[in-house]
Amino acid sequence: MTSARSRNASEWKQLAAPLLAMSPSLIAVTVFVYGFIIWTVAVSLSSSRMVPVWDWVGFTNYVKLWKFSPWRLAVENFLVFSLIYVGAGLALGLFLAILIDQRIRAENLFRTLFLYPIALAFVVTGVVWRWIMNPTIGFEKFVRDLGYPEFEFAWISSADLVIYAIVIAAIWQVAGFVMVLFLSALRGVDSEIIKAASLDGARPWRIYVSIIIPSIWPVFLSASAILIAMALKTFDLVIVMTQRGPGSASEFPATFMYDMAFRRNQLGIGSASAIMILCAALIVITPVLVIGGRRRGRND
Amino acid sequence: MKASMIAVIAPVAFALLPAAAPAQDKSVEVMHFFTSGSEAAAFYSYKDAFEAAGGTWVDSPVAGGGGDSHDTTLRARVLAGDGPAAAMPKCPETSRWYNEGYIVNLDDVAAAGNWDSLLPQLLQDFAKTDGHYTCVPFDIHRIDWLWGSASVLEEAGVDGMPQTWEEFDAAAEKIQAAGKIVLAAGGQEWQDGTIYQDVAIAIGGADYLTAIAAGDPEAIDSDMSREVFDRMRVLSTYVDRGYPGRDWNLAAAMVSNGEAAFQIMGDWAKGEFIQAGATMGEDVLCAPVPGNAPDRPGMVMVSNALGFFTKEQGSTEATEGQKLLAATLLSEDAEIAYTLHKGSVPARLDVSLDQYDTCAVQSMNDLQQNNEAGTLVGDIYTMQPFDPAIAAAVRQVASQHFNTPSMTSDEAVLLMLESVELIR
Repeated sequence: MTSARSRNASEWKQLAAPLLAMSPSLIAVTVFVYGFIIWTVAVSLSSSRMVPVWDWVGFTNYVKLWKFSPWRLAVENFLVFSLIYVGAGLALGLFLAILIDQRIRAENLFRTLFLYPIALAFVVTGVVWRWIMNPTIGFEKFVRDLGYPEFEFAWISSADLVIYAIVIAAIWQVAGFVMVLFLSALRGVDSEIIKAASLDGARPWRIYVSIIIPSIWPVFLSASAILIAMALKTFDLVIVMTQRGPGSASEFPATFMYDMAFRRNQLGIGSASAIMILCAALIVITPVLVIGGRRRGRND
Repeated sequence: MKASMIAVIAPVAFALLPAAAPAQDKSVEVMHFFTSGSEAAAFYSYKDAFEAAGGTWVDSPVAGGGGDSHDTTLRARVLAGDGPAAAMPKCPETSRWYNEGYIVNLDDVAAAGNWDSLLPQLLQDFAKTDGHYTCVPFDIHRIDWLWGSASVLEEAGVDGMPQTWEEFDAAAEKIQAAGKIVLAAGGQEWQDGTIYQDVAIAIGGADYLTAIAAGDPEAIDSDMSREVFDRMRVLSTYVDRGYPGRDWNLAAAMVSNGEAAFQIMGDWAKGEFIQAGATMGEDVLCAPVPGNAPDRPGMVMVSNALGFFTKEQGSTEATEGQKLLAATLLSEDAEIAYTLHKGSVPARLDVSLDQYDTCAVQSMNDLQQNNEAGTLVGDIYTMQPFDPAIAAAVRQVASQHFNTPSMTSDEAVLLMLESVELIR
């Protein structure tokens, strides 16, 4: 019994120092992340309009939200955006990584070039692409001036196509980042296996498809999770590039939430939409955490 | 025991409080969003007038033209118990703050200044909550203006500003033939919404527009609405392809530099035209947005205003400084100095018009006429007693329709019904 107590005491001592060291950030995270999540849930279940009101209206705000066609448009935009963003982002990132993986000359230079866009703020990306996409001053005018007066590229002016214009800008920004993720994984593949395969007469593309890519699948998972999380947060790019327009054709969940909560005096519905975004993030993150946890368990 | 102690101390403390505050302190913190060049120049003429009258103006600007960040900052500060002595929400918003107990009562100042006879009826309605003056509207911007480039119209062979939509379409044909853009606009929701409410008052009239702002299902699901949307569809074919996301001042520049013929915008655009070196009435022409017949009735306006906040929730007692500033806002000289820079016209009806340009004079005359006829309407997005979420939904649908060529007027009406129903 005494030994148990002394073991507890020594365990407590071991724990005390890290706990003490972590306590400021623990408290900060508890209050400012989880505390405010609870606060937002409470507001979303109340009839709050201009200021928070602490009453209870059940899930009225959520019902209203899903009946509201602008919100459904925002969700639809998000789905289209994420699908292309993740799909094309991964494909382009992998493609660039494989190109750079060929032990080319000046690899560092190219890596920096491709990685550079991610260092830019979304605001900068948005402004630049707004100009490029603008038919009267951008790419369309450039091609027309080259002598093709019939050329048309005005996706940003079209309510149906504007979402693809935003995807292009977003992918341009993120492709280099995905490339680096893949590149480090490619370099981590056991070179003995690759040598063995090439001794057996496998062509390079065959080696990639059958050996290397299957062995780096966890990177696909983590990269998609990162990309979806970034897609969920899409706000500044849209605000700068299209201002949710034309009309409100490029509405996103985050821009919708901001509009409702801070500009239309609909705190309740705004909070409900914020909670929906949180749920979407949880749905994306949970499998990654579970699978990642399982792998760590296996390694022990 | 404790309760009786408080009962004794409380009245004493309250009696001491006013005495403790310096009687001559007339400082007022003014939170506002007039930070751009011409706006700041205009607004600070009030500062000069206020300080000349013995007040101390503590400037608290919050940048951001539309006032969004101003409103956000204001809300945060008021809820934290640190509301500025004066701030710039629109009157209906101030009246919501009044109902929450954060706005002082200005009845004394109003009575002394005889506001009841100076202000147009509509502005009085805005300025009062439950019969008390709670807000000081100090200018009037007309929103349903059509601005025209004299040089483009001349080049295209258009004789003067169109009075009816028929004339407008005929002019548009000539302008397009001359290779110019008919309508300078920017595909931002609020700009589309501005065009929408201007067309709605021009075609449907004041009562119709008010019913729309109230979200009346019968008004929304009417032939009138379909006619308005039909007209919006025609207008949407007159904008150029570079319009998405274009700021309103760039659209105004297209008119003043002769790229485009017309712009539909409130008279804050005048500041841009004048800054570009144009003379109003000569280089840039103005006319009310066309209707189905010449000289249509109706006028939409928005009014900038100050609301006076208290730090003690529930107190409606104005400080001496607040009273002085409220009185200054509507004094004739300050009004003239301010509006000449701002592009708007004074909130008072009795100001002499000698120094104003032709557009401002027309605005004043139409204002008086519509005030008497009862066809003056407040901006449906910011100046209505109804839930602003309704108008926001209306604007969203109007903008979506304007930007989606495949959307019919019937579809727009249905979507508007659905969106407004949701807010209730």
